[in-house]
Amino acid sequence: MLIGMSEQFENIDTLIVRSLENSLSPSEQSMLQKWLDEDATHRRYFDEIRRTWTITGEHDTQFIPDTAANWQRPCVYR
Amino acid sequence: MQAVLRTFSSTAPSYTKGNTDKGYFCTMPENAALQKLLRENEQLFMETLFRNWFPFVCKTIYRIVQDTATAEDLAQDVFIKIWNRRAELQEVYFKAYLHKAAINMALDYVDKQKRRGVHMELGEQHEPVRVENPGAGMSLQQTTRHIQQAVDQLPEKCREIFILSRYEELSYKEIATTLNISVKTVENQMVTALKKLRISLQDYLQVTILFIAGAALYPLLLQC
Repeated sequence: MLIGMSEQFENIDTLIVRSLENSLSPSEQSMLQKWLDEDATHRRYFDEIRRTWTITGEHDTQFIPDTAANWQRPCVYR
Repeated sequence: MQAVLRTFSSTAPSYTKGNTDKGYFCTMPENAALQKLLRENEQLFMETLFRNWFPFVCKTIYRIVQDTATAEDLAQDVFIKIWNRRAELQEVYFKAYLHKAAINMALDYVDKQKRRGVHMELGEQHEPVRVENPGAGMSLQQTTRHIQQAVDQLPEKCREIFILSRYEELSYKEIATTLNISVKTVENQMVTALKKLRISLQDYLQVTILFIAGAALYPLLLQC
């Protein structure tokens, strides 16, 4: 059965996000691998999504609250 | 007191997905020490817990609410709840408990804001984050700010789900449970988030590609 182009891409996107949290089943892993091997543009798209995932993770917030000052705030447990 | 605090800060356990599957129960020594403190000296328990975990709770909340003062206020509320429920905490794994409490506190706040008609969305347009010569002379702070700006531009629910996955390390199943939505919805929102971020951060992706290509070519150039 032929799968529509948009449906196929929707499925592939789902497989890609599952691969980011390592929750692909073996058959899904094969399906993704097959898609990656089909075309260089597929691999490029996959790599860009993975890099997007990586760089966003490397740049978390740098907000550091003042714990000592917050401990001094009036509250029920002090 | 200082010795007690140092003991805890140097042995803070790492929170893994495995822990969340087991709920809040934990037999780690540092958690057991906290439980002992809770039984023997509630005030010291509270101070130890606060001094060690306030930044963690605060940052978790801040990632979602995006306001430092609000994050600090809500983090205080998390610890007040802990204090009020201290009699029920004899078996919990504190880091997981605090993490979940912080996320729920932040999400409740966002929901209340929504009901009041206050939208936290910073923008819906997904044009690339403009970067002048990315990578060259750009400080870590600047890069981080640009990337956070791109994350902030995501639609609200999409951003929440992305943050819970990427920074709070919740599995898609845990996010679905927390937000009372299906795993499929979580996955769809993650697809949307990553596609939008891929466009927003295209300048950074180009730099990464060049860096990887350069690193691959360097040994070949040395042979010439």
